[in-house]
Amino acid sequence: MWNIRKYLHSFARMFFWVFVLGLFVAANLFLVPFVQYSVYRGKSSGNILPDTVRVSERELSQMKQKAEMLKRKLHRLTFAGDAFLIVNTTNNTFRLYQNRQVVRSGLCSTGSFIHLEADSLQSWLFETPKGVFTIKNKMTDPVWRKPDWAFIEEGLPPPPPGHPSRYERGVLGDYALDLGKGYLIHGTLYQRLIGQPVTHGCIRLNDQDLEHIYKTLQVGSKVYIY
Amino acid sequence: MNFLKKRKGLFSIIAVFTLLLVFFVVRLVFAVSSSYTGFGKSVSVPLRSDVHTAGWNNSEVRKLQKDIFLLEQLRVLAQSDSISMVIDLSDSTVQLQLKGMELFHTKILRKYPGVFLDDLSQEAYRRFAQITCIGNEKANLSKKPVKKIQAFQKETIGSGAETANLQNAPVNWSFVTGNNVCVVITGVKLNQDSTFIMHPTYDLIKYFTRNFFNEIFPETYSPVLYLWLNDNDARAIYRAVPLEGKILFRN
Repeated sequence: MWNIRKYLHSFARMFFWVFVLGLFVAANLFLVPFVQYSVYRGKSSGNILPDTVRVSERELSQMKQKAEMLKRKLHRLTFAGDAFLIVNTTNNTFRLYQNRQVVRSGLCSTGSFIHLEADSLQSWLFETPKGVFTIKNKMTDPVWRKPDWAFIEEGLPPPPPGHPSRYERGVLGDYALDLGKGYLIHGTLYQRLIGQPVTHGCIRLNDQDLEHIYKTLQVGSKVYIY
Repeated sequence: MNFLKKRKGLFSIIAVFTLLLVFFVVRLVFAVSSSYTGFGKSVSVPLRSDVHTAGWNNSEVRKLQKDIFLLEQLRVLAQSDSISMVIDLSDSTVQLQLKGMELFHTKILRKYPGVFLDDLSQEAYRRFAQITCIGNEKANLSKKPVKKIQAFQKETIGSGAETANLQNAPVNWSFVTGNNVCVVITGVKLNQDSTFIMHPTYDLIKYFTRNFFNEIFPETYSPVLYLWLNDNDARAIYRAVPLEGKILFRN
């Protein structure tokens, strides 16, 4: 009997301390931030006083007109042409827009973020640049002019400029769209890697998507990369 | 002596209880005072012009004024060459914009507080919703997942890419904006039957505990907005927005 009483007593004591400490932790963790936010919110909304000037119907319609005008201006300012392409380099996806509607979407491949170091002087970061680009040129049956890193990557010394070994046919697919500064949207022989970040900075697409995009986008069309 | 021995338990309870209470009260005083001192650099600076905010109390006029202000800010953003982020709390979306073009938008799966600074005065709202910069960024992933490789010793590109593509812990990204609003973004992963695995209470306890240990007696305060986004989308937003990128709120 005495043992049970003792046991119950120690249990009650433990429960009490757990309760007190729990209350203390909860108050510190939740109540303090809540009070801070409430004080801040109360202060920031405290200046809303009853309006001293009423808004007339005319002023209200003027505000509506201004909102419409701003929408039109913004629309004009952001008009990206009839067709444009948006590329997501994190998830390796693309969306093709025509007349502000998505007409095709799917997977692509973008820069691998590999930083290739040849020596202390030469290095390359294989990254797809972000920003807005325009299509400078459209090519069919493109030929790849291999840059130095393509040889260094294979463990070969780079040949002199214009050397025949620098030109490779058939590796970029049937079409290519030039974004400038050496970056292209092109096809690939390694279709199974589409959707992965494996390129040297170009945007790779599968054959069907590439053909559709090639036929939809014109020279001057915009490509947004993020 | 016997009396003291009997009351020892009671005295210790009172002593500990008083200590905890004093600690809590001191912390609360610091917290409240930090909320007040934070006003100087926050969105909530009270201005005299607030007295003459014609129509701000009318919900229709207030919505129109907010729309107009947002459009004006978007026009300014459209002239910027960098990718910017728009957190639209009224629509519960986060957008990426470049040259005024909406590149991408994602739904806010959950936010805390449910309604964030919804009743700001007009002047305070203009400070809250103006274009500002992201600062003091902390994240558990890198902006550029660069893998260094020495020439002639490199692995194949394919296998390198596979390691890059591995998805690890959900995104945890926090920053403080120029108008002194702290934003904490948590990525939410999809499970096999395409439903989101979300533990907001657990996340909040984790954040509150971290904040408690970071600043036991807080001296500064920024209102904190906790957002839960699709993990892939949160990752894309984090990688797309440049360091000290621009951000815009709409409430």
